[in-house]
Amino acid sequence: MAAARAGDVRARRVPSRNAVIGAASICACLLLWQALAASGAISSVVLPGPLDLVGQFHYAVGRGSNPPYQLEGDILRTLARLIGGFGVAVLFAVPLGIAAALSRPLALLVMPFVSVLMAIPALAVVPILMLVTGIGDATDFTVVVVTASVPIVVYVYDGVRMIDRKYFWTASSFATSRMDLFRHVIVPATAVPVLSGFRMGMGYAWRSLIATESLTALTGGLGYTIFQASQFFDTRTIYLYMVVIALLGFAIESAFRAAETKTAVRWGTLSSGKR
Amino acid sequence: MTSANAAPAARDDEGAMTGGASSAPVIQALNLSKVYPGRDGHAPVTAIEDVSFDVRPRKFTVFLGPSGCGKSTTLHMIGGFEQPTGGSLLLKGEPIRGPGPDRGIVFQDFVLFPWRTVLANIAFGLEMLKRFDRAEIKARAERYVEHLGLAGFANAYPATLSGGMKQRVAIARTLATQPEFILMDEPFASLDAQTRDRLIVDLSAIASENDTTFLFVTHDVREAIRLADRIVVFSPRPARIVEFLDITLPRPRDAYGPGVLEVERYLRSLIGKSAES
Amino acid sequence: MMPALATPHARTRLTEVLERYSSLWVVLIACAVWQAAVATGLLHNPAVPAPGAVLASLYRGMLERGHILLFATLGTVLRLLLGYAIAVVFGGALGILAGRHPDFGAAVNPIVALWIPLPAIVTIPVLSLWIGTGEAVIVLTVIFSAWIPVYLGALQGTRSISVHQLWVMRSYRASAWREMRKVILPGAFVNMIPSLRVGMGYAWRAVIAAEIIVQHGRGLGITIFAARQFFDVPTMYAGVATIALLGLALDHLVFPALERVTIRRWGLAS
Repeated sequence: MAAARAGDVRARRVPSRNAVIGAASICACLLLWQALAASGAISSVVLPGPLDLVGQFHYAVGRGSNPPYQLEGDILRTLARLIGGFGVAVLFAVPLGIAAALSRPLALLVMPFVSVLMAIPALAVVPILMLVTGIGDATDFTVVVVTASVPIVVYVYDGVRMIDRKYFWTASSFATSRMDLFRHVIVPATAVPVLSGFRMGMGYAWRSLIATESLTALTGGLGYTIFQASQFFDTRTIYLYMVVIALLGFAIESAFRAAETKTAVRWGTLSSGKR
Repeated sequence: MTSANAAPAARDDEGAMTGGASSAPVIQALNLSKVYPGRDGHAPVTAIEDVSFDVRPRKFTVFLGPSGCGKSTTLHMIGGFEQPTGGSLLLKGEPIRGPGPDRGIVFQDFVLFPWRTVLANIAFGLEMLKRFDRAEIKARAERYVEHLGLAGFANAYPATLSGGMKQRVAIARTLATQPEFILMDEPFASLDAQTRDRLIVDLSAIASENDTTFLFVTHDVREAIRLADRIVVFSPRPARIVEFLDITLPRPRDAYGPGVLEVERYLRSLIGKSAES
Repeated sequence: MMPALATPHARTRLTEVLERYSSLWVVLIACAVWQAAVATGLLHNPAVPAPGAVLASLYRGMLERGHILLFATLGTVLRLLLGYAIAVVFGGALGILAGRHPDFGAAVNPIVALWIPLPAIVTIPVLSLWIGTGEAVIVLTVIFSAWIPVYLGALQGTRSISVHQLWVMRSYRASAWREMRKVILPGAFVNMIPSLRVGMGYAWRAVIAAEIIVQHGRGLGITIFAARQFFDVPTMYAGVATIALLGLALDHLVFPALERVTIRRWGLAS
């Protein structure tokens, strides 16, 4: 029986109370922001109000903007690089992680490099990468692939190694072939850690992509536009894009988290137990 | 109060057969030992040392001994999950090379696949056999659901079950493929007393209905007496065999039935003595 | 038929030693192979210099002439530590406050939730607008990045302090300040160490990214970018290597040591 925690008492609070306070807090911030902007105390160039941003949003979407469909175009380009790169990362990193977990020699060969890669912030390598892949989509794409792969390999590797050996023993007492062991034990047992890895990989990839776009993209993208806008002092675009980037990042993270939680709840996470 | 027709237990110091018809031993261990190599500077650990025993077919054999004495290790070696470091372990005359569908296993912590329903867990072994079609597998699995008292839970996930239910599923899963041997590693140790009692009764019934050879590990003396045809008594680590005891009490054996207390008293004194030495 | 996991490996002394430092061996061997490939001409991409050249560049940058790399390292580390310290104080205080006063926590929560998905570097255009380019922008980026995990850790840590400890303090009629010092801060701090570690990781990434984008003053990111303009590729690699080594040192040396000193000494291992 766990000792009573200070948080337990608070857990008896009605959850909707938190929601109300939260909503009120957000509204208060928005009102304060709008008031500051409207009052003229700070120039509307430096700090546009939320209403100004809504106006900017209307301007940036649709045919009327310059270039046309500016916001949509940027979102699509960034997402295309993200999803494309992530897809490649998954196809490459998941098998690698599983193979490394099942083969000690491979693990000794691969995992040290993974550890080193984990310690290097992606943007530090971008200048070098740009020498090889130039300043276009290829660099963005490569950055996504590498930054997403590293956590995925680690999580998949850990996920497989954490499977209590008794699951393998049980399966092996049933005429289970290697193929079946993989399909029916390893894959479901690692579903939750793998999804965690995807979430982490996506998080790193998203941040690194935005940053890389600011240095490279020839043809637009959220990171590219926001830094371009800062050079032209186009503050409305800067703020608008900040909000868009945050919201988009939030949506992506929530989607991955939901998938992970649903799987964990339904299947229960495998107890790691002593091996 | 012992019944007039049979002594409750026959002592057997050599592990060989005493009286009775039965057939040749189907598992033979001779001078078995298991040493775990030292890690990170620790000394090597000797789990069992010079252990010899026979297991007769279709009988319920119990390995009894204090916790951590190496009886589980012995069971694992019979299952083929671990290898002996000394001596020989023969299954029908052949050394044990690895796990196989002839030896099913039930663990203390159930080891049910959390991503499969109760029915799917039970069906696991049947699926792996690749011998039956879907309908047949389902039918067989459902039969075991009924038989093990799991009616109504066929589509539940293990996370929603109590410990006793989980262990029933584990037993059903192992039974479903009708293996020649069923190994059980302290299966009831993490269950409460009432659940354990019910499961002992049910397991006894299952054992008498089936031709399976059961190998059961426990540290609970009464449990051993109620289930076993034969008890192999282990000493504390490094384990050796202290004694072999054939139990011929009539079944079903109630926890406080005739003869059980006597045997229990004897065994306790035995274990106590071996702990001191 | 069984995967290698299920059976214990036969271990010899040699295997044990090899395994302990396996990462090191593999990286060294890889460098040796790399050196050989470049030396023999197998690998002749201008973007991939020989490790020897990188090492030479590292040596020069650290120990010779203007100690460029050394000062760059110092610059980066100073910004990192300053930003991180402020983030820890700010995030920690806020987290403890939110943990002790749930209403405050509920009010701050949505702001935090919206802050998390915002990459800190995206705030650079806004910061540049407000305060121009400069050190402050880089340090602020670090703060913006690192405070979140610290806040969450402090929040969690404060919530998980056993309520019994608090009751004991109350029964001694300890003042609120005393209570804070003796129970809350150590309790929260110990639980916070993993998030401090995560926060350092965020801070590290942020400082490098900010340096590369802002390019002001001396720093490892700045050196790498500047070297690119002179096509001084070995220096770029030397910079990356320094970054990697520092990052690894922080994560594998500093934090475990910190954990050892606090958690194990205070006997609070989970």
